Amino acid sequence: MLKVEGLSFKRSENIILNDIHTELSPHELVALVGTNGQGKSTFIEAISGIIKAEYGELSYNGKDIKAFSLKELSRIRTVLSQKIHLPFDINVYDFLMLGLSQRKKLNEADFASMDEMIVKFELEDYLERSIQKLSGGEQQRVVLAKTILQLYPFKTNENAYLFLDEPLSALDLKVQKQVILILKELVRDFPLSIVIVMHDLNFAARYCDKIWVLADGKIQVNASPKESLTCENIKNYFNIDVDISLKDDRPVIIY
Amino acid sequence: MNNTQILKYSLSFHYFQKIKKMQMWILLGVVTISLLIAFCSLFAGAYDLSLSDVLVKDSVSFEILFNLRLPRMLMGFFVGAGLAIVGATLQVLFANPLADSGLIGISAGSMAMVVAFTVLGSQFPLLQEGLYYFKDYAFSFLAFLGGLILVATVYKLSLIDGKVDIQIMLLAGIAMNAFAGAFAGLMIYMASDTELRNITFWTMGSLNGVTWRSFIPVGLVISVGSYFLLRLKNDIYTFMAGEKQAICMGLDIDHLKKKVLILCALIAGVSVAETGMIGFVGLVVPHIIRAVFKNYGKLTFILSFFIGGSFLILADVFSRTIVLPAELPIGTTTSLIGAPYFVFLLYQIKRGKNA
Repeated sequence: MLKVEGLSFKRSENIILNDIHTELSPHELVALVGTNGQGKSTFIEAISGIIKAEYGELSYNGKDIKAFSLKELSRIRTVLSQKIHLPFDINVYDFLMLGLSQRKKLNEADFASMDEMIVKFELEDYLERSIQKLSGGEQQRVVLAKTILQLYPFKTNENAYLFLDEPLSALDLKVQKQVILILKELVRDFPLSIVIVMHDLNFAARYCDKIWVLADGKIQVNASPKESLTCENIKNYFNIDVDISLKDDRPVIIY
Repeated sequence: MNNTQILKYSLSFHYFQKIKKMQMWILLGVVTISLLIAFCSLFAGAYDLSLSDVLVKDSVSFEILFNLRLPRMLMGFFVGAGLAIVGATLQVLFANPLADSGLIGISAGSMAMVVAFTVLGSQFPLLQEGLYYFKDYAFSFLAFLGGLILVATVYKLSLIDGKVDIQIMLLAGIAMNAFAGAFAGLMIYMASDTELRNITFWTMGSLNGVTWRSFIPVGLVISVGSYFLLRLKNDIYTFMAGEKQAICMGLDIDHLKKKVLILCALIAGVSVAETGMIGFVGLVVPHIIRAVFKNYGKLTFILSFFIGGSFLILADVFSRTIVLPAELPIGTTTSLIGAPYFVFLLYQIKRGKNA
């Protein structure tokens, strides 16, 4: 369980995050939504400890984040940044290996994990291709596979956390669905929680267990899709008028 | 499935083995060619020398080979190797294919410091005496100090929210280079004619007059420095996917950067102190490796070491044979090769962006 109490973050006197309280349980897939510039990226970097923020409590699995060494932390949580910077012409295989680069000596299990990721993200035919020459969507799949590989195989006794900053934005509809189904499967099968930043509210409503709406430096709504994505909330926090219908007890937003 | 079965069918393990094997052959080939180049280079130069002359212990040939050409060749190798490994490291660390020790101020800082003490030394007899006493070591240390001060300044200037901002780093590098250049210019303005001539030749870079006495400390510092950089290659390589990813992977990046920058300033500093400004080796060699061995990975660092060394030996052979019996400054030769290659590189980037 991830527990956040009174998390605040300022950037040169601008308050970006203001006294945020929230929790993340195992097997949860949470969509973090909000209009541009609300601090979604800052929020996931702050709760993952990549940037220093002020907080009352920030604990992973009941242990304060400060009590973790960087190495320990790197085995239970990771972040996929929104902007992927790929300055060098490196092939897909070598890039995936980066996910394992902090392991001491590679063993059978590590290679088996790598195989699983290659199969899950359908990268078999890409291994020798240069990452710079792939399309944006293909790159995104490779980067996602590498990010998950860092935590894989998941420990059975400790919950792991995956924070993904707009991993779907460069993908076509089919791959978007493929990726979210992989993530859903992972969350179901392993002690894992995923927070995923996205803009498509329908997609969030359809596949995620919970929606966090970030606005004015706070998580304003923290509930199931049906309860959180109401006409009123969307008007308040996204400033558009919408109609909502229900399918399979999940909202479908028409705009 | 048990483990051996997994490995038998493992796609990634198959690749891992394939690449390991290929890398071993590449490394073996590069080391062999480097040794060959090093050996052959001993027989090139103004004085015609053949293996049989040396074997009969003809005293002049023996003297030239062992006391002139051998230390010179070794100095060329280690300086080239050091500059190239520093270039390869800085490029990955700053996630910028155009970074090298010249760009971020190490070379300029070292140069300014050495020029300052060459000129000021003559103004203060006591200082001169002190410097003379530690001659070979004092200048190396000063060059290291100058390089470190400048690279630390550039690094501090480019920190925003605790992260290095690449654009600001490059701009700060330009500013610091200009400042160090102006400072050196001011010193040169105060210099006497002899000093002026020495400084001018030194800044153009030269392996002329290398002796065992001057080589040994440089060789020692560069091999120890490179050894420690190579030990960090796994961590440095993690920067390949960006700084934030490196933090996520559990690296103490501030600590790592400090260590790496000190090692780089040390290697580049002693190189500059002994052989002057030898440009473009650190920039070009890692790029050649990337262009030739597509699948380079962590091997780039060690390959840079050997190919950088061989590159400088070849440049030195070229410098000392092309205008016999005179000699071109080696910095001129490397820039003559390096600058057009740099332009070619920019052209490639431009073409890649258009595509």
